[in-house]
Amino acid sequence: MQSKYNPSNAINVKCDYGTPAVDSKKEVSLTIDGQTITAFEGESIMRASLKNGINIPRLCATDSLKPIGGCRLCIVEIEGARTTTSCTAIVAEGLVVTTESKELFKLRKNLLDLYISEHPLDCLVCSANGDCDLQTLCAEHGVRGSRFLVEDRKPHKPVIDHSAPYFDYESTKCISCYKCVRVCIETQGTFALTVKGRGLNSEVCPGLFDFKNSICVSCGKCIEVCPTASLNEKNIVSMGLPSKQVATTCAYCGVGCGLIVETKMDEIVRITPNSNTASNKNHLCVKGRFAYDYVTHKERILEPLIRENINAPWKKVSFDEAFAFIAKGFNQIKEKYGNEALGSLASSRCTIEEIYSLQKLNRTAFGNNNIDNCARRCHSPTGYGLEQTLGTSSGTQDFNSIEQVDVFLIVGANPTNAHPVVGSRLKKRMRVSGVKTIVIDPMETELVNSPLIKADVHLQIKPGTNVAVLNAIAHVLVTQNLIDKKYIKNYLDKTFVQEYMDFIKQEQHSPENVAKIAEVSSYDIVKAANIYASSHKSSIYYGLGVTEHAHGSDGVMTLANLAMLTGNLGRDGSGINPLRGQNNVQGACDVGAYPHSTIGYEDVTSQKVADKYTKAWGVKQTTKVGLKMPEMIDNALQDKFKGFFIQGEEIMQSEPDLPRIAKALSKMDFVVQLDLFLNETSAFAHVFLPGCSFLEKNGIFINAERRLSRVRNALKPKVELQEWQTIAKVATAMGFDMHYNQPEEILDEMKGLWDDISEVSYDKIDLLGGVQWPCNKENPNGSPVLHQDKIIRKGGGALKICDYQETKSTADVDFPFTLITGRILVHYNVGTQTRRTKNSEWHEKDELLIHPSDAQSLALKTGDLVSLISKTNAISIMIRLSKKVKVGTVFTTFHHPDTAINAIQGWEKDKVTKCPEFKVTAVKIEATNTLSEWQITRNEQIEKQKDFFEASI
Amino acid sequence: MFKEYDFDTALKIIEKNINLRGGLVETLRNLADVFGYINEELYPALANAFSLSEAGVLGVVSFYSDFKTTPRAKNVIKVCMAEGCYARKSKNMIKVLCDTLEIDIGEERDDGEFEIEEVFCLGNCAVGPNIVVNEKLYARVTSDNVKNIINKNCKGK
Amino acid sequence: MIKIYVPLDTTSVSLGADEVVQEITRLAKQNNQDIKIIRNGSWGLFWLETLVEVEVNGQRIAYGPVNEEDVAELFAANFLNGGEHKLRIGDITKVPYLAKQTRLCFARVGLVDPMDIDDYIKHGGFTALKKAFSMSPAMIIKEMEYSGLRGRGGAAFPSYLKLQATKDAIAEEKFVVCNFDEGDSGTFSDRMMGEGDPFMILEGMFLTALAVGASEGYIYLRSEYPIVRKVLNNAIDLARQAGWLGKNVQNSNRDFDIHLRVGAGSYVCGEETALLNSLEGKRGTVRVKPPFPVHKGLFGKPTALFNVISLVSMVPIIEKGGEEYAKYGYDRSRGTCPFQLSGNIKYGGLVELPFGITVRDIIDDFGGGVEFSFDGGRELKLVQIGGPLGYHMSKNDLDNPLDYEHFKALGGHIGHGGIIVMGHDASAKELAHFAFDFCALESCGTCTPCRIGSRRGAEMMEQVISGKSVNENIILIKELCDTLTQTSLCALGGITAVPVLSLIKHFPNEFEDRYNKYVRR
Ligand SMILES: Nc1nc2c(c(=O)[nH]1)N[C@H]1C(S)=C(S)[C@@H](COP(=O)(O)OP(=O)(O)OC[C@H]3O[C@@H](n4cnc5c(=O)[nH]c(N)nc54)[C@H](O)[C@@H]3O)O[C@H]1N2
Ligand SMILES: Nc1nc2c(c(=O)[nH]1)N[C@H]1C(S)=C(S)[C@@H](COP(=O)(O)OP(=O)(O)OC[C@H]3O[C@@H](n4cnc5c(=O)[nH]c(N)nc54)[C@H](O)[C@@H]3O)O[C@H]1N2
Ligand SMILES: Cc1cc2nc3c(=O)[nH]c(=O)nc-3n(C[C@H](O)[C@H](O)[C@H](O)COP(=O)(O)O)c2cc1C
Ligand code: SF4
Ligand code: SF4
Ligand code: SF4
Ligand code: SF4
Ligand code: SF4
Ligand code: FES
Ligand code: FES
Ligand SMILES: [Mo]
Repeated sequence: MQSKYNPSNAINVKCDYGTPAVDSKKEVSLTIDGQTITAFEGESIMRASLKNGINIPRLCATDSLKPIGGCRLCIVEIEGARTTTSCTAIVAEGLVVTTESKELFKLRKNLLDLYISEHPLDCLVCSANGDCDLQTLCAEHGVRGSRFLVEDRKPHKPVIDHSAPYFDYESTKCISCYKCVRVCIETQGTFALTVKGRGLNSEVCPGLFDFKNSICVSCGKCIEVCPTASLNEKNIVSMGLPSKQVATTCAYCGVGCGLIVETKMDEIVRITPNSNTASNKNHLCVKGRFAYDYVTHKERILEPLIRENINAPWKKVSFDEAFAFIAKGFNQIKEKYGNEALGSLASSRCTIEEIYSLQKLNRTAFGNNNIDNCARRCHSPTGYGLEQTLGTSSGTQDFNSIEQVDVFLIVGANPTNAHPVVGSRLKKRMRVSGVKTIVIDPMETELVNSPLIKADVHLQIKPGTNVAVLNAIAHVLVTQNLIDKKYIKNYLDKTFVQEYMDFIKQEQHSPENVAKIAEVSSYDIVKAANIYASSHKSSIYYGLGVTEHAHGSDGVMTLANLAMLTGNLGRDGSGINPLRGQNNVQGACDVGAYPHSTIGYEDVTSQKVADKYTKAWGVKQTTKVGLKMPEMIDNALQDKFKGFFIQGEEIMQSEPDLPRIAKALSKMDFVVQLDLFLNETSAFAHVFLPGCSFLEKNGIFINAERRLSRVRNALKPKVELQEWQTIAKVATAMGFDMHYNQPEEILDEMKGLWDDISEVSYDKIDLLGGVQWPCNKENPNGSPVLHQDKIIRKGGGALKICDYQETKSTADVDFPFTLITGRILVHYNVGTQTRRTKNSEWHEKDELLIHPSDAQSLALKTGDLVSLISKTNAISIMIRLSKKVKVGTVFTTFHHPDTAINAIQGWEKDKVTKCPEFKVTAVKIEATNTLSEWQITRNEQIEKQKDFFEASI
Repeated sequence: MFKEYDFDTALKIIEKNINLRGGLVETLRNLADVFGYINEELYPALANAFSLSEAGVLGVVSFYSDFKTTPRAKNVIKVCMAEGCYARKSKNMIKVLCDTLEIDIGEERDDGEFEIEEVFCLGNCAVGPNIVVNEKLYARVTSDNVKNIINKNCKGK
Repeated sequence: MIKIYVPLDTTSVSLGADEVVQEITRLAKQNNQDIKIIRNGSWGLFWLETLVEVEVNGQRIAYGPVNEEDVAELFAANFLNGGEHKLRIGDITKVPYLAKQTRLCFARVGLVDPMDIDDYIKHGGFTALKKAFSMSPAMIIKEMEYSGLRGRGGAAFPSYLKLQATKDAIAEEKFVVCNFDEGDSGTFSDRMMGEGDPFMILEGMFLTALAVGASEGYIYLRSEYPIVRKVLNNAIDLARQAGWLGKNVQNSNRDFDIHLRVGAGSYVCGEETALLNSLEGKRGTVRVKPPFPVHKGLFGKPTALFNVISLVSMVPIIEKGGEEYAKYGYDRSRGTCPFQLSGNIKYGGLVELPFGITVRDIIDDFGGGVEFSFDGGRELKLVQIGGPLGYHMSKNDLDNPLDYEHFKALGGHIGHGGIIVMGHDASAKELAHFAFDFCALESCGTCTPCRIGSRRGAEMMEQVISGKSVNENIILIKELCDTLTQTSLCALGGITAVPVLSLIKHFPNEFEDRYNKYVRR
């Protein structure tokens, strides 16, 4: 249900104009209720009226959906025509329309009478009481009961479905507006709902099963649009309506959806999309809308914990004690081993203000550049690859330009799981007839095959062969002359062109050769090239399937080459877009949580830069490149890295080769963790500092579109200090004075150092629903599309030569299967948060997906426990048969610590950026009936840590 | 009258239509013609064939009165309820029919022998009242001759 | 070899035509007579079915109504040579019922062999099409304009406007759709056309295709017509084989093909937008307009959707010219309409006449009044015209001429030209209840007034029937009717009030609570 409160804060919710906007900008003028107004050609009378503040009763219309003319309440009188519905009638020059009259009132009253003749009159005890469109309209029309109702009528039996974790369905309150069915199709694109039967028997229904077991993904859109109590949040049922609203930003994935968090008594009642934010177009996924219970989970740690060594119980202490303890710990290491032995890991889950303060702590108090963030094991190849080729380490467009795209090239990304709202927006565009889709992915994702979605080409390649395949596509582009010569001439850096052309023409890149390497048909490669080149509105969307490889950076650069060769860049609807993962991973890199660059990607090796920051911070800056995350680990193993500050990263589950990580951590003298929960990494920590959840903090996230969005505290902080304060106090305690009164002060400091955000302000962000950097003097309102009149890189776009090399991890006779790891919709990364919500009802443990034919040859069936053995380690896991995975590959997730799939992943990395090869691990599969040794010892350790924690209370 | 349902035959029917544009209703039609009803185990195959969700298939099946989801009775009798036949006294005949078969319009007899389905106009209005007994149309059916027609055309009792 | 004609028409078959055929074949073999039986369409004189015609030196001699049992007698009477017999009628076309008609659409129905495309051509088939090949779309549409043809499916919308709009719509793909849902009770002209002269429908669709620039056509046939399904399928196959459908038809370098789709038991799927949804394999719910089918129709492409009779009417229009066709008719209703007489009437059947004849004349001169022999009631009580949602006429307005405007004025519609005669013991209450009940059963469920209102109406009418607070219910029913009429999305809910209100108007005393009235006085 659409909320009806007037928020006291910065929310400016767009009002619902009833029917979708039209493209036409041609104006016509007409008279509505005596008022002469202008409207756009093709607009509905309803939209024209509402835009001019003339309200019209309605139950089945909303401006995100095509009208169906169902409820008939929006009837209006048009001079010289018969009474008609304003949601379906189109404006025309000179129309004279009346929206209010005795006759219309009578008809509307009769219609409402008919509704309630089928409706239990429970208002007083109804969960929608006070937030129900039917109720409001009945009130407005003085409906006092049904006159058409005969007492001895036989009502049909109601459907009550409470199976879904977050919402209930009760058909008795349904008024058959079918908004739910329509949003599930038109907005969410899942097609989980249908109308069953016809006439008065028509009934909303999630197929043959209940909601829980249907294909419903609990995006919650249907609940939001339902005008009655028929579909309603369980929270609303139990808690009643909220009293307070705050606009903020989802802290899960890189889509960065704007949220309206509705609370009362400092508890969350409901979360709905912010209709004013550009990234999510008034939509959310199950995580952003529902998965927030972790915030108030009993296992949240709210006071600092310390201990002398990692085999001792924890001790609860005050923040000041903790700071003193930390200062002592780190300073000792400094004295004993020197600055180089310290470093930190910033959390992309936190705000740029918090991350900036941590990297500042590291560059001042620690006095080195040993700071990294999770982009290392995510999109660091994107940063490098796009910097090298285009000159900016970021995506080139905003999500809105999805609506302009004619050809999609989706490579190694699974948006319907990992970026669900973007997934829905992609699908919506893909359903438009004429729009074409190419998917390169070893798995059959929903973008390959789902209701009304059929990819034109699916290159179901062998994992690890991106570079070969993308080069083959480039080969076809060049040899079949599908390239944009003019663009190449005007936009690209001459010095690379000829050499590249000679290279790519070589026979080794021919579709025929590559088809064998990648296990796909050469015909499909040629087809893909032709489709991609067939439009100047072709757009690339890619993910970890490209980056998390031994040659991830090459993958990114070969992708960028395709865009440059065909001139598919710098336009609304064409470009290359990494689907950055974490809510603020773009931001973490932007504000300098990188060992080789400062805020705004200034090269730390430059003396000029060093001087700039020495001046700004009053602490001498080194020009020595810092350690990347894996280098810190390797150094620790060689006793060269001793003190570690870990902000919101669960490296003991998310890093590869966990035994190595454990060894390294245990060799460190002093590990400080800033997190919400004690996690597997805490087993090796000496200090645990309690962090604030995103609902308790103020600041900015930067999403995958380079969009800065506001984060506001919707709940009273449960922890004494904000994280930026905690960090500042640590620095201060170490003798490096750092002090801010407000996050704004940190923003101002950053603006002074990075021109691309120099014109940003909290107010501007609220007003525009987010701004995309660069936001400076030249682009005061931000920059949705990059590389428009020229490619940003000095000298123009660079076609980089990247030859395909097979990864060492390729499957062989002893390890015949290729393991891919990735994500599912309901859990987020290591699951510390989502596992502490009802999302677990859908997914209690990681499962290994295996193709039925492979399972058959191994005589395995769904539910069997198998031992998954790599060259380094083994774990045990349950299997599930699935036709979605490629034969010879298996897929699983890394969401559950008791599986700890990363324990078997090797230390192979992208040669330049050191991004782990999470997407290719050679494994063999054997039936088993026990957990692996490693898992058993780990579980023991988990128990031990639990005891340590109990002891601390 | 109808074939015994079996999955493979059904799949063949679906595959035959897979390239039919908007072919779901037509395919359901074919299935209903052969088996008399649509077995729900076919929804996944149908959804796949026409790029729909299973819910979507259910929505279509449940809209049309010809598409039943359970096996039909041995003998299906359709009775025209519309005005042309009403004008020719179908009422009396229908009463006799229901009494004889001991079921109401729209019901199936517990023993699965008989089922009476209401239809609206068979385009035979000039010579009504009309009934269809196992696909065979009878005109000028009266309270007197309806019994014999049933007896003559229905195996079982 | 002797040619014998026995109709394959649904009505004939329902009256035993197949058995008659078997019997004739059996006895012919027995008396080793060399015969050929042709299954023609029905002439539409249903009280004479099964009508058997024997061709005796070029002349067709009719016998009827023939039962299985009569066949032996007929052989004895040497009917194979036109022998005398009490069932002998002679030249069927001389029978006044037929002779007095103006058969432009049904000219060939009964005469030709519907399973033989050559027979169709022999009787002038495809002349219009051949002519049209050399006409521009504009010329074709002009003829339609001159003809004054209006949709025979119910809405009576000028056909040329629809053609024009579809032609003007710009799209790489367009469609012609033939609405063969014939859902109205008391109607069977589409059915007889489909069974008696299927090729004419194909020709009409082709003409439409030429006018609008479509290359594909769909026929949406209701499932209650199995024989039509058989005959049409065969016709389409033959037309393809003979090169009258498919690529570069008759070297006209015009492509046109037709697909037959069968419905699944839904009256509302006769409504054009619901029909299109059904053709697309979806739920047969009604779509909002705009967009109109002529702009966004089948699969979102411009679509010219016409009723069967509208389509076949185009054939004589092109053949003889629009003005010629327009000579027939009355006022703004031009041309002929195949009226269908049924219900409690002596001579039920199909009567194609120019618009303008009064209801009384058609019932008396053709129908022969109510059927005394039959226990449906000895005297005429009312006549329902235009299907289940059609107007119920009392004895007093029978002099109303059959044309669109007069019926509009009356508050009704000719609809599909079905005329159901009811004797004095038909109950107005029951009929009013039926109207609501039917609407409730067939409602697609999209809009509130029809989805809920029709059921409420049926319930209130049940109360009236069982005498519960009758007057109050009638007042509410009238208000409900007003709401249905003014707010329904499509005409199903939109005209459900027509039968109800006409019945209440003509038979008020059946709808009032005598006791209460008495008390109030
Ligand atoms: N629900 C949910 N959402 C999330 C997350 C989560 O954990 N849960 N995590 C967030 C984070 S941190 C990130 S980085 C993003 C990641 O989001 P995505 O980039 O979508 O990452 P994955 O789902 O891991 O992998 C994407 C696809 O890569 C394919 N792939 C594997 N190997 C290859 C290959 O060799 N070539 C090609 N072409 N494809 C290959 C896989 O089959 C998979 O379909 O998601 C973010 N969003
Ligand atoms: N096998 C395999 N492993 C992978 C991947 C893969 O595809 N396959 N993907 C890799 C990728 S792309 C990524 S990004 C990593 C992600 O791995 P991680 O970053 O380690 O996991 P997250 O779940 O994002 O969160 C890490 C920690 O942040 C804490 N946290 C959440 N919010 C806050 C906050 O507001 N403040 C503070 N202080 N802490 C907070 C959580 O409690 C959690 O403990 O996993 C990597 N690991
Ligand atoms: C409820 C309903 C049922 C209809 N049924 C039919 C039908 O069975 N056959 C038909 O030709 N038109 C039917 N129509 C009219 C069609 O909507 C449409 O107007 C007509 O087919 C257009 O063709 P025409 O212009 O040749 O009449 C129906 C309309 C409604 C509202
Ligand atoms: S759904 Fe609305 S109208 Fe219905 S009972 Fe609840 S509050 Fe009242
Ligand atoms: S929650 Fe989302 S997916 Fe589930 S039914 Fe509603 S709209 Fe569809
Ligand atoms: S459940 Fe709600 S949204 Fe869906 S049809 Fe019913 S009332 Fe409308
Ligand atoms: S799509 Fe991403 S940002 Fe949006 S609600 Fe879901 S998890 Fe949050
Ligand atoms: S009136 Fe409304 S509910 Fe009834 S059939 Fe037409 S659209 Fe459907
Ligand atoms: S809002 Fe227009 S019909 Fe419901
Ligand atoms: S009314 Fe019964 S067949 Fe037409
Ligand atoms: Mo990530």
